[in-house]
Amino acid sequence: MSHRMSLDMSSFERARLKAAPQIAFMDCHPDRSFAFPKGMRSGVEGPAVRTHARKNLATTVAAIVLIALSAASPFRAHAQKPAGASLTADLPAGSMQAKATTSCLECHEARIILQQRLSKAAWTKEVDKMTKWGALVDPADRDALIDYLSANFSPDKPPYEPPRTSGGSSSRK
Amino acid sequence: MNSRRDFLRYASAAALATGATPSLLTWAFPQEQSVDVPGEDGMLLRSFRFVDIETPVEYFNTWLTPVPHFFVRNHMYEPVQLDANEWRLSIGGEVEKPITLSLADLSKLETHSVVNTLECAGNGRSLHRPQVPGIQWGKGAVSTARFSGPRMRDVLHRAAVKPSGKHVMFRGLDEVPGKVPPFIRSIPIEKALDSDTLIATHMNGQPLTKHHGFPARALAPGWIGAASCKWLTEIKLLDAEFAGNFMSPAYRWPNQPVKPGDAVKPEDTHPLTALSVKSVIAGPTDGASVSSGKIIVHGAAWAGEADITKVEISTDNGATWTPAKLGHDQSRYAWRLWTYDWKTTKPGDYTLQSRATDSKGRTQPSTPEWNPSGYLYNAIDQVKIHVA
Repeated sequence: MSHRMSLDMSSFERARLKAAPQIAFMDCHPDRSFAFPKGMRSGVEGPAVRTHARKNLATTVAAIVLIALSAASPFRAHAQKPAGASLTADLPAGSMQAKATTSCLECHEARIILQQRLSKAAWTKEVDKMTKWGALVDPADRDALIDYLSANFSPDKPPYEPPRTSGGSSSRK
Repeated sequence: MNSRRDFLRYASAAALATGATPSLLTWAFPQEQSVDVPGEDGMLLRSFRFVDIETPVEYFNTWLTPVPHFFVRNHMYEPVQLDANEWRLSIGGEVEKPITLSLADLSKLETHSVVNTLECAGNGRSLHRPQVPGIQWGKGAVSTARFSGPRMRDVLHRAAVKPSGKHVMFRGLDEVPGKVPPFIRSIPIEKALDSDTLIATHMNGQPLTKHHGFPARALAPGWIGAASCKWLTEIKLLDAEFAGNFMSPAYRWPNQPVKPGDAVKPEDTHPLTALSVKSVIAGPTDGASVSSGKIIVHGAAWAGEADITKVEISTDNGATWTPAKLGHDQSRYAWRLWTYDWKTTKPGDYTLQSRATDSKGRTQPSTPEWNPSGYLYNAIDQVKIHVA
């Protein structure tokens, strides 16, 4: 906890761009309706979210630096917690990490990428499909993005090991 | 204006409050620890956003899967807002009398129950070679529950389907990001009118949970999971198969066997419907070390719309096969649990295999039938164990 307190979690979380865990932790009330904060409602807000994401790119970079520093800090030992890893994962380091985060994790979390083991040809198809489906990829970045994904998630890499779920102490069933 | 962005902010704060830790732990400790997902315990988290959760094979030890151990497959975001009182199901298209039903209306119809083994078409995708894109399911995107609700045909009869209504389209309330095609599919009218096809509102005697499609979902028993649309809100009768990404190119099977790695033209494929014959070893688990003597090998076997007629076990890498004992619990669309009492006195490394055969005469193949999207993996199952 100690190092967590040293971060401005609010800005940190906002900067994550893809810090969009589904409300799996909000389950049904006994009357089978769902609980939401007052005023919250359903809605799709793609373009606005994207603007928001771009505005926060600088913050993201700052946050990434903070994270990197934090990981290497003497407080690291205190960071370990027996249960409760992050709800969503991150993409691996690399020159395209930030751009891949913006392009891909807008709509889905990193684990969907981390678990793939694909050839460059297959990654090319995926990137082009996702671009058609709304992923914002600058044409100038397309090839570098494909290279980044192909290098990190090629068929020769060891299989991805998914984390286990724990029921969650706040579970409302 | 409140928005998804505000929601996300709230969700992040809530995640912290409920004990989920920020992403820096992932950086510091690449081996992920458990992730708090209320209502889902000991499951394999393939993805949190969208929610895709796999059942570990060692949970295949009860005929009915408890809901917290039932796999979850979502293509999109789960609906943010669901209110049972506000929820409506409309039936339109090629019908004489378009109708809209509330949950109370559904509850007045006769309830029917079906024990169904629901399997994602992509179950086992990670085992195909070469690997193909998609959720990299291991062996556990399959579970069994007793689903209950009105028969779909009773609802369709109320709307009086026209002779031109040949296909039945389902639309759910899941939320679509970007320009992603919505998750809409259709099933042929014959399957929709089958006496076991439901608009399910309950699962194992309890109202559906959100992950499983509250307040109502389609249930096309024996068919791939994608045929059983969750958070159902619209049924539309069409004169032809629904045209959309999730009918084509997705969820289709090559008309002819494919050489692994080859491309297949969409016109050389047909929609996936019923599941294949398949068995999975639940225990001992792969990599286990067990003591010599009596070892109980156990698992589950299913065959979609067909019945399992036998499960055979090999403990010598496929040289000889011996029948396993099938469990007492059975129902038309449900898996059979099976056990095999194996006695061995010789320590060493062993490969255990299971092979199911069904009432249509289908038997699990020794090599999987590769296809470009990695559907319906059903090769003979195997685990490697050490006997000490």
